[in-house]
Amino acid sequence: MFKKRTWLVVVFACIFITIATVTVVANPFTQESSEYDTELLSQTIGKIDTIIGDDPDEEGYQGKIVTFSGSSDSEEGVEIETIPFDSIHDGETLPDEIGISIPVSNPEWTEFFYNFSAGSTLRPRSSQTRWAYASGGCSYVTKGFDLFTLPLVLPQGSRIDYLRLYYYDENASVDMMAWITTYDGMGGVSDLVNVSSVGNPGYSYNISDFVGHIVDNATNSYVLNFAAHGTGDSLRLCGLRVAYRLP
Amino acid sequence: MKHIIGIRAIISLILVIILLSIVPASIAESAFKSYEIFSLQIHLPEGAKIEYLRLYFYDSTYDNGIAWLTTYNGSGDLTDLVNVSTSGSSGYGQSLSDLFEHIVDNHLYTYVLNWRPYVFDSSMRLMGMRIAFRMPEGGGWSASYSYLKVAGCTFTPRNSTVEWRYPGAGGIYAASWSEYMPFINK
Repeated sequence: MFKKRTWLVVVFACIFITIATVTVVANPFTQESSEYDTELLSQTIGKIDTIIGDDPDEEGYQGKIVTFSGSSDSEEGVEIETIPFDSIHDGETLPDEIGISIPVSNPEWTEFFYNFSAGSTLRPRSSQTRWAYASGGCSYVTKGFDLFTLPLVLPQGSRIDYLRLYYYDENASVDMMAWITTYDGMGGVSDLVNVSSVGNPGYSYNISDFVGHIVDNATNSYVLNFAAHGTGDSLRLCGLRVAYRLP
Repeated sequence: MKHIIGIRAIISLILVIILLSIVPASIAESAFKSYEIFSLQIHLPEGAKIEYLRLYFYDSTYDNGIAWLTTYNGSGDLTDLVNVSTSGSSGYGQSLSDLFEHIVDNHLYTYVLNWRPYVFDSSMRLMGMRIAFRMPEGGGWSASYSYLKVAGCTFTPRNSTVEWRYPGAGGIYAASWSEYMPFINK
């Protein structure tokens, strides 16, 4: 009899401890920071870009500029037939195209503007792929291999010059890759540029070749795409920054 | 003897599962999901001065959700600029943050809106957020505010283990955390 009661006490004690542990570990009533561990804030981590003008996507750069040669390593992975579609030049102007500003051929360009997006805000193109938040605005793939995307909205007529990939890489055998891709809504796809991670361990960034693409929002939608080429928190996307100029 | 211990172990496991299933879903789920966050990338004009964050919500619980604006630099560093919580438990409402001042620097930072509901059912909904900022003008600041207002339904969770639902009117609420504990997903 005594043993039976002891057994019941042990069972309910285990249940209580389980629930209490879950609640305490979850700590639902205290944390207001965006991080799991606020100590991360005081860490000195990563390769931070503190020198302005040492990279081609910053003002004052004097070094060599490399122009992107084409869409090698297509993010689509398959050949897609591009369907020509440009209603402005078909002689018929539709109501949502009246008064659109046509890009000027040789305008004066402003200094750089930036469209900077956190890696943690990109989402997979398919629900078969899963993701998780790491820290510092970075995310990683936990399952699957679909690309992660985010709309890129830029002013009409602006010129896209560079794409910068911010990442955390502890996997020497795999390189991550990001693209700027345009879609015309009729099956046409074009990768404007891509940039890969390089072998630096830890936080780092890499800059694409020069793009020089004039934004045409009437014809194209612009999307940031990213492929981790692997799963796990050793391959993290921390940000994508597009450097562009206004006419 | 081993046979009896085995039966007791199975019964104990069943009891734990039954107990966890009996616990109100909101309590069990809040314990498991309290850290889960929804986020949205935003872009603001270079040089603008951000002053307020306004939170639009539906809150019919005693818990309060919280929203905040965070900057990241792409190299693992972050700063939470300001936060604002829901208040009351009478349904639709809005809260305004304290005044703060931050000059937008798109070269160094990316800006993300975050939302932590704490409660994972339709009693806590994010309906939207609004940032009030001033544009630079003549060496000073514009006398009038400019706004960036976003709907709650455009936010998505930072982890794919969270499910969410659309309650209507541009809102969103966290629904469950079902991938690993299906028996508490009611």
